[in-house]
This record gives sequence, structure tokens and C-alpha cells, in this order.
Amino acid sequence: MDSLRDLLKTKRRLVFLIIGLAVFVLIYLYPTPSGLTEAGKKSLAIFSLCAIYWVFDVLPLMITGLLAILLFPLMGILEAGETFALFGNQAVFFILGAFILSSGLLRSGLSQRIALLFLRRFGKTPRRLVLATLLFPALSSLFITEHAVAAMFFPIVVEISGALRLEPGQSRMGKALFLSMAWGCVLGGIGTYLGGARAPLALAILSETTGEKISFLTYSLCALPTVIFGLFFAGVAIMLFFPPEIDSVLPAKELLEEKIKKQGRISRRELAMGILMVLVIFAWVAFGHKLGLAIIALAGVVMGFVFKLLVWKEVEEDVNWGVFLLYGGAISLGLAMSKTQALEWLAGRSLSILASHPIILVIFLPTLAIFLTELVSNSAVVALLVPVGIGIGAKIGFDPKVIMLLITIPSGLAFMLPVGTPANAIAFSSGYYRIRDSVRAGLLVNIPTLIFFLLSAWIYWRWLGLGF
Amino acid sequence: MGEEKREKVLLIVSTTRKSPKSVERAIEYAQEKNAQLICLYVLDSELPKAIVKQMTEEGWLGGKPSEDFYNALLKEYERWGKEKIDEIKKEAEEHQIPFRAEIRRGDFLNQVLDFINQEQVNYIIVTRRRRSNLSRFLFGSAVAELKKQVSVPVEIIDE
Repeated sequence: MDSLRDLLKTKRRLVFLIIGLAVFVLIYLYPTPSGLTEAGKKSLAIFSLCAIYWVFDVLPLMITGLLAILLFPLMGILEAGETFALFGNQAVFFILGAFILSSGLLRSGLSQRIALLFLRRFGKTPRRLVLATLLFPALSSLFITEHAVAAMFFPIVVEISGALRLEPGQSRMGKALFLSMAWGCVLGGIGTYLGGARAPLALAILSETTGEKISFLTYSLCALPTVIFGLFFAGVAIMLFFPPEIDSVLPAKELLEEKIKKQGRISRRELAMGILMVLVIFAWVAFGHKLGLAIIALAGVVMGFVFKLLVWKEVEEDVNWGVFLLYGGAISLGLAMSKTQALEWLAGRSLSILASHPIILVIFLPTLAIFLTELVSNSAVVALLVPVGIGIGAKIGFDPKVIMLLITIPSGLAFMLPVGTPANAIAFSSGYYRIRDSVRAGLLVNIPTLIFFLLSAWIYWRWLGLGF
Repeated sequence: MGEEKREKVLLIVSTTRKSPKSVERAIEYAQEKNAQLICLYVLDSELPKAIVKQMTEEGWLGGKPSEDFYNALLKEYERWGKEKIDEIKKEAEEHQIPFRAEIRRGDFLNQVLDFINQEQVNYIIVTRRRRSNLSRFLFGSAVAELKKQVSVPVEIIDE
């Protein structure tokens, strides 16, 4: 008994490291099935290895990405030059630009100022304060990565909870505030390409495997109704499960007043950074399809440095460059699977039930994504499901853009567990709620949001030219 | 009785292991034995470290925001620790029990074992988090490990 427990506890990584390798070797040595090329079989072996390592967190996500980049040329599936050229994908430069602009926005202090003003303006009663704590992160996560918003907003919510003397683990108001913060970030994060790394990654896989693209505006128009209704369901669930037990938020109001006063007048950097961000977002919406999202992002970055709104040292401290390794790995995985026709084979054989009817596929993919993302990193969910989904969809003539959206949007919707997304983990670390609180209430958000998402995909997307 | 001859009762609390029941029991036991009550509050770094790892590896945040978050979180945990210690101190004083406390930062088990070696306590009272038996079996329990590794009696109070 003890040995099994110890094995699971201390050797878990080693066990899955070996399982991944064993699966890889087994597929590699297995005679090539009919309909699958030798290169396709090798691609499947690498895909399985990466899937196991990503799902069971054997190696950091980016290192598994690096492993894929290493294995494709080594096994003769892709040329080394071709593999490394995938780092030049537009999405890589788009995410680079978006992360640098996010850093500038946060460092300028503008986002914190807006947060304080928003909470002071709208958080006048306990219920309104909870709703403001849900809405502000959601709005911010449309423009800045949701995890950065959570990290920025967390100390504010902690101070508010302290000022209101809410008891960690006991106070319903405390639970409501921290869950609102997390769910606001989660919901806002799915609204645009700027909410996190997964949507640009899905776009990169889509463009490399099919040559198709989805503009900034179209993606946002497809996702925003789910954001709005998700926020409604989240607000209802929070008020139902955790109705505030306090009557007044006066101490929080006083705290906000004091903090706003301490900030003083708006600085030139805050103002200019705000204007730059508005211009960049406008350009993404209006000219993104023509100029490319990456070009606009990089132009914004250059402007930021020209006007001294961005500081390289701060950018270096704020941006995690590991994301590019994950991108390189995941894009090469999608491309190799498609190029070697491994996706086609996979779709035709093992997943033929799914490909038998569009409705099954439309229900299955988002449901799998939404529940998988509770346990696995959402970038990993996208890296694994998007290429496979595109392969299955191609079998029945499904628009790959729809497949990408059906997987990418729900893959950000983790409400229940702290491991689902860093925003949930950050909120959970406050100690104000327990996992059972977020599971019970989160399920009440997950299911209606998923149903609404499916209905909007079925009815509304066709108006945007993305019918099925 | 001189303070050096009194028995030492150690009450262990941490950011994730605290319960009014264990405080009550520690006061009751220290009073019964006319012992000194020592409170060790461990600012458990296990959870913040796991979250920072998730922030950098999945949330793609850079070193600075992750570090700022880590420090903000530990500062908040320290505030809880001080409040909790003040609460216990007040109760101990009401019952005229000699009391002292220490806050330590780091891994729960290592910090507790280190403190016990240093203090030579006679009796330990510790809170156990509410978790399923399956979770304890699969992922282990620091409190169970503590009981295994020390020679003095350990009273475990469930949350």
C-alpha cells in the first residue's frame, strides 16, 4: 500500500515519463497500418508522446514543445529548416507584441487605476461590489492576458477583504469576491485573441494546417455572446451560493478612496499607454485581416519604445519567453500531422463515430474541451485537440475555422478547479474558498455556458458566415 | 513551578491547517498540565510555490509578476498568522498560561521538525485538513508523516 502511495507521490513524473516513451516506441515499432504512411506513423508517435507529457505535466509545457521541435527533424518527418521556420509564424509575433503591450499597460499603472475607479464607482453595496469584481476582470481580460489581470487584481481584492474583515474559509462575501475575480478573468479571457496564449496558438495551427484564418473581429464576435451570458450565469451562481452576509461596504470604499488618493493625478505614461492600446486594438479590428495581427502588434510595440512608454528591462521581467517554444512545438505538431496525412488517417479510423454526423462532432468537441481544460493547461488542450478536430472535420467537409472556434473558446472555460487555469489558482490561494465551493458553483456556470455556447455556434455563427 | 521545568505543549498551526477546536484543546491541555503553550505558525510555501509554477508555465507570466504575486500572498498569509497568534495569546492570557509564539516560512513538515528538534517539546497538538481518505492515501499527509517522525505524543485534531 505504502509503495503504491509513494510511487504515485514521488515517482509520478517518472512513471508518466516512461509511459510516454513506451507508447512512443510501441507506435514507432508497430507495423504501419494500411492507409497510413511511415512518416504519418512517426508523427502519431510524437503526437502521443507530447499528449502524455502535456496532460500529465511530465515536463514544463514549453519543454515538451521543444521536444517536438527536436524530434520532427531527427526522425526525418520535417526538414530542420522547415521546423525552425515555424517560429516565424505570425501568431508567434502577435503574441510577442500582445505580451509586451500588456506589460506596458500594467507597468504604467493605468490598469490598476481603472480597477480602483471601477470598484469605487460600481461597488457601492455588497452585491454590487461582488458584481464589479466579476465585471472588471472580464473587461480587462478582453485586452490583457487573463492571468496578468488576475495577478494585478488579486492584491486589491485581498485588501478589500481585509478591510471588510471577512473571515477566510467562512465568509460568503469573501468566497463571492474571489470566485468573481477568477471567473471574470476566465470569461473575459475567451473574448478576444488577447486573453491568453491559447487562441493565437489555435489560429497558428489553423493557418499552418489549412491556410485558413479568422480575423480579430470575427473571433471576437463569435466569442463575445458566450462571455456575456457566461458572466450572467456566473453572477447568478455566485449570488445563489454565496449571498453576501454583510450589509455595508463602507470600509472597502474608504480603502479605495485612500488608494485612489495615493495614486495622484494620471501620469503622461498612463495616458499615452492607454491611447496606444486603443489605437492598436482599433487597428486589429479594422485592418487586422489586411495587414496581419502581428504587424499591428509589432508596430504598437515599436511606437511604445519610440515614445518611451515601454522599458526593455520591464518587458524582460514581465514576458515569459517560454511561450514561443510551446508555440513552435505545437505548430510543428499540427503541421506534421497534417502533412503526413496522419490526421486524415486518425479521423478515418479511430474516430469514425465522431465523423459520422456533424451534430455529434459539434457537441463532442466543446464538451471534451471544457472538461479537459479543468484538469489540463488550456494551451495544451488547444495544441492537442485543434489538429485532431480539424482532421475529423475535414472528413465530413466541416469548415476548419468552425472546428477551431468550437475547441478554442470552451478550452478557456475552467470554473471548477484551481488546476484549470492560473486565474483560478490565484483566487484559490487566498484561502477564502474551498475546492468544493468552486466545484458546486462552477458546475452551475459550466453547464449553462456550454449549452449557450453550442446554441450560439449553431444559430448565431452562421450569420457571421461560419455555419455548419 | 519555574518556567524551565514546565512541560511544553506545542500547538502547530499553518496557513492551511487551523481550527478553533485545536486552540481550545491546546488551552485545555496546557491548563491541565500546568504547561507552557508554544504556538508555531508555519507560512506554508507549498501552495504559493505551486501557483507561481502554474503562473509561469501555463499563464506565461514573467518572473517579476510571479514574484510580486508570491510576495503579496506570503504577506497576506503573514497577516493571518499574526492575527491568529494574537487570538491564541489572548486566550492563553485569560487562562494564565505562559505563552510564546513563532512564525516560520517554508515547507510545513521541515519547519515543524526543525522547530521540534530545537525546542524539545513534550506534547504536540496539530490540526489536520479536511480531505478524503483517498486523497490522503494517494498524495500522502504531512501530519501523518509528522506523527511518524517524532517521538513525543501527537494529538491530531480534525478540522
